[in-house]
Amino acid sequence: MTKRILFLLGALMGAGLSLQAGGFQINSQSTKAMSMGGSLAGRAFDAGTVFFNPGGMSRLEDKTLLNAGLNIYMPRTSFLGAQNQKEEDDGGISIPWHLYLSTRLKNESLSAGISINTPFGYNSTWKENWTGRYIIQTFRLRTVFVQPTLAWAVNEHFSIGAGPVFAFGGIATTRALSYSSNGTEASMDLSGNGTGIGGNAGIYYVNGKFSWGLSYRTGVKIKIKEGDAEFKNVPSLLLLNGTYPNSTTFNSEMRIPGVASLAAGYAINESLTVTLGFNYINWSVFDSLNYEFDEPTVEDIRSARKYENSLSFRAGIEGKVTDKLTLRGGLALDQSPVPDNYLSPDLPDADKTIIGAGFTYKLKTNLSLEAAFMFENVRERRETNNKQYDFEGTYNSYIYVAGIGIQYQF
Amino acid sequence: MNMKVNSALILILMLMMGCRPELDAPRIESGEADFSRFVAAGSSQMAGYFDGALTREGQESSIAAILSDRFSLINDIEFKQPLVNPGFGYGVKIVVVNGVSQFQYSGKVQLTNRVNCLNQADYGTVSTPHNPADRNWIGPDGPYHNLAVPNIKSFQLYSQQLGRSGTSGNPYYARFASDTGATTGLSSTILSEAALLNPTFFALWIGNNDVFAYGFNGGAGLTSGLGPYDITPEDTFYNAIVKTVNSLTGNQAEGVIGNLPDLTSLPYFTVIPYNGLVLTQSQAAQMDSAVQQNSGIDFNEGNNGYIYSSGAGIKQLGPGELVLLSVPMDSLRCGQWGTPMKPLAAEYVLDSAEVSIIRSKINVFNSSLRIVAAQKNLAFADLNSFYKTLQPGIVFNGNTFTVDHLTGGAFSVDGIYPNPRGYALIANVFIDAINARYKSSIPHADVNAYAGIDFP
Repeated sequence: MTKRILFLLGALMGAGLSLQAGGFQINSQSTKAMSMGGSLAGRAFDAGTVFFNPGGMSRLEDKTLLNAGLNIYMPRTSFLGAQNQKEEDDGGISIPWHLYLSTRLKNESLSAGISINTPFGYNSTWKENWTGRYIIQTFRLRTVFVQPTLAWAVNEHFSIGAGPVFAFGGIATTRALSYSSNGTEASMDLSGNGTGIGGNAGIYYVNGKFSWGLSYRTGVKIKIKEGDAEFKNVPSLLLLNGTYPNSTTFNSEMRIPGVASLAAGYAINESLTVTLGFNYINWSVFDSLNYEFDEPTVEDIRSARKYENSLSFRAGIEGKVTDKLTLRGGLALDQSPVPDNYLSPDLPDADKTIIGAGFTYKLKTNLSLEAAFMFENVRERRETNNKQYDFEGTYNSYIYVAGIGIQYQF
Repeated sequence: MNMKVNSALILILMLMMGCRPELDAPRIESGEADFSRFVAAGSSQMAGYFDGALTREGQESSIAAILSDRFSLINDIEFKQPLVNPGFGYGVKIVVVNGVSQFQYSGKVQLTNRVNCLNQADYGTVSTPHNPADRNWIGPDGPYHNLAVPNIKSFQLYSQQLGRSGTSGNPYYARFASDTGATTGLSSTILSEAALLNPTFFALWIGNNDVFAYGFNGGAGLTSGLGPYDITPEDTFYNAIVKTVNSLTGNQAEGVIGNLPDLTSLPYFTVIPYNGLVLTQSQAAQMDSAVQQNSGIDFNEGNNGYIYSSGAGIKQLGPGELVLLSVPMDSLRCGQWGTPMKPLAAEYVLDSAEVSIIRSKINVFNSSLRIVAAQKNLAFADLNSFYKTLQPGIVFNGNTFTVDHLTGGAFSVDGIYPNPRGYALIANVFIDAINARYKSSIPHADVNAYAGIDFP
């Protein structure tokens, strides 16, 4: 039995092929999706379809379905700088989480649901005295999307769904300032939160073994107002003569891209299903990341990003091993939206290869436990002519994601 | 699934999660050059002089030391410097006491917080004591590979007086000269020391003092002469460079030569604006009445050029003319210095004639340096262009450097010499020139690893 499972697990991991959205999109928005290359837009497997394709809600088998989970998202980056220095990040950890609920209304053709999750984010934590410290020591970007949603089954094949997205986002970053007094360098801590509004809509089609979906989630502009800017260890002379204050406030804007998905699923037989999908991510909205200070003596920080739209392709496979155990696998390749000359250590990125695997185990008739593991191999990338910070070198990252979740049928 | 397999899987996953990608450093190539016996020669900058003194900290971050550190990435090289003791180091002034010239020593200058005469938060500088042991003769401990000597001019590279003690010699060279000329009256020379080391590669940055000694004192010396405050005669400079480079390349050594920046762009000359005399309308009228009609001097409400003594009478500074950082700041702010009542002494000012002679001599010396480097097919570090890029500011690993005094990050408290980070930036210009000429791949120095300005 064990051998059979391990063999199947291996086969599943190698079976799919998918390409994922790069940048700071988090590819673990559902425990099932994590193990299948990251998307459920073409197959309504569970309540995660509220997020991946709202149209799929009408086709969920259960009257009310809840999926919730969290995962540990851990990038590990090595850096070889142009001055021949070897450095590595200290290993920041993010905890992306998700909660999806979908229920059929009295009118059987209508469904309502909600999606709450963290679709974008990154955490880089470098050593305090590393060579990029004037660019970033720590950088944390977080988002929470709340999306109430309605879906309507148009006929037995077509269904559509849509909902507004209320987005909450925050940035927290520290960097060193090149002013020292008595050998201690000054530093700047920025942290701020903001909100934005968007939407998500999708069409879902199913005919027997075959299904496909088309969905579009809009971009969101998260405006950060009056974030806190704290300055530490500023030499007393610069405080006294007004070069720097002890603290001020800042404004910023996080431009989160829109995502268009086209995906399909096919049930080969009763126990085996494959999925395939494309994403087109409108990353070009992430043109810059600026911090504008309210205190006029503090020079604004403007950093061009010039991200480019990126395409992704995803696939996965799901197999029922027993009545209680379902295994999943996926493999992913990924196009980076970060152009050459604009690669910076707060958001290191390159084309990725991603593999995922996971399982669902039915604990009771209405309660299942899910677990998944995802590994993202970020390709080695050399930045030779950095236009933002003159910060050059070679980056290479692994991203490890381990997650658990539950599924509950009401 | 049995428990063993389960636990083994979890263990493998956990171990995997600790792993990082490996990055292999590329091989560093020496190209067509051989850095195994490296010798540096030059003046204050190559020696690591900053904050008005030669200190251990400065020597360890001298251009020569930074270059040797980078060369040693290829293979271990021996590079010995005539180090002073850790501490404040020493700076030297020549003073005349009872008609006799003698050296006067002090340690480096340090920044201090103070309140100026306008009751504003300001910085001040304080002198530190020097350690007399730093001046002990260490010639027998040589040979030394960094033969740079603060304050020397081009033609002193082969002077047999330079290593003598007393004011006929140089107090920085006399302490490490292999022969101080105690018996013959003729000392070893920098070039003779270099020749004994049989270098395969050299770095030479000489000539700043050939012009700067004139500008530093407000143009007190001759525009062509061999005295301490004179500008070196053009043919003397050219011949000195030819002789020096011939000597250094005697054994087929390869090398790099740096040219001279526009010295008038240094903070020492640019911190104080020529028109810093701010007047109210009534003050302007009062000063107008204090000067002769038709003198060309005119005061208005707002900013006005400072008044300085020039030969027979007084003049007013105009655009492009410079006030030196050596002027006492509070006298300028509150003591009526720079007004018709107390005109600035000529030693605090470079007028337009002096500025233009300095610039034209730098151009002439730079073409001499370029010609000699080209003749010997040596690498040529264009520091003149590099200093110009500091005007808008340059970025290194996210840190911006400008010519601004103190906050600009590249120059030391004295406003003349770079600080260790400034020296590392300059070493990188030398490295670029070397890599370009010899097809080597020496990586830049990590500028931000060196000390910048440390505020009190």
